[in-house]
Amino acid sequence: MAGRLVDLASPTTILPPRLAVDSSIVIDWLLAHSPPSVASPRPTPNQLRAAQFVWRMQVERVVGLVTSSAINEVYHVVIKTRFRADLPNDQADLLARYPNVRRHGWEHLYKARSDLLKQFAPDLDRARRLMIANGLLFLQPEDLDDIPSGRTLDDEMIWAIGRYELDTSDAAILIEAQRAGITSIVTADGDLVRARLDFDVYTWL
Amino acid sequence: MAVKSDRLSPAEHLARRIRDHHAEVARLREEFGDPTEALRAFLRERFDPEALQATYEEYLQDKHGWLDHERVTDADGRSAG
Repeated sequence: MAGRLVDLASPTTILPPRLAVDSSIVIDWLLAHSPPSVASPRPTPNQLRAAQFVWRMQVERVVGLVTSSAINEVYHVVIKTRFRADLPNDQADLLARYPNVRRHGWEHLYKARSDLLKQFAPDLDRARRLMIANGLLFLQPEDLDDIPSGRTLDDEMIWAIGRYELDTSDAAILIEAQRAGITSIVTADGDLVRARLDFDVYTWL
Repeated sequence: MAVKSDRLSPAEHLARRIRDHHAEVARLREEFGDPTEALRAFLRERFDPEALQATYEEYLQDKHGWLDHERVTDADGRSAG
């Protein structure tokens, strides 16, 4: 059955009791609470909407389910940011490993100092627990039923990529949500709107 | 060893986790206090805002990229990956 496109900007929109939360919402929600940067002295409209949405979920006791694909993207943002912030502290290591590189990026530091990931792990864990404290719930393998079509996961991925015209990560989010029996998804990603073929897509129109 | 008769269906498992989730949220809120303020403090203490913004901008440009191997090359041009 075809899904719906639901406008979260409408005051009459009612949220379902549970829905999948796309990584775009989680990442915008994080950024909404970050101190101002030079490039972004105040939260963007998307970030403010995400913050209001997560707050609304808490107030209405709506369960926001985060798929493994989505949490992968969120953790990546945390890791990349921590490496990037550490760049000035590791110039000696970077110059030793990449002497002819004019400007070192976080990827260089990841290659030169992968041990830093051990130091970042507590930050990942705190981010994880703060997400739970703010009402998000991470889907586990035991929450997932068999793929309804009977296809194997690798085959289903290709099917979903074609059906929704989405890249792998978004296709994986939809497959996981479907296996958890979730028929609604909230996103700020315009590409995921194409999931309305089978999902109720909550977004800001 | 797992007892097969106790095994829940995925739907039952998720329903139970959702019930448990409310208790977990309450426990974490006792630990953190206001969760929104706790998030704000965490980001302020542990994340450089310029680094976070740069990462965010890259996420918006290509949210699926993990490593840009074009940029990660050794001095002699070999990929460092």
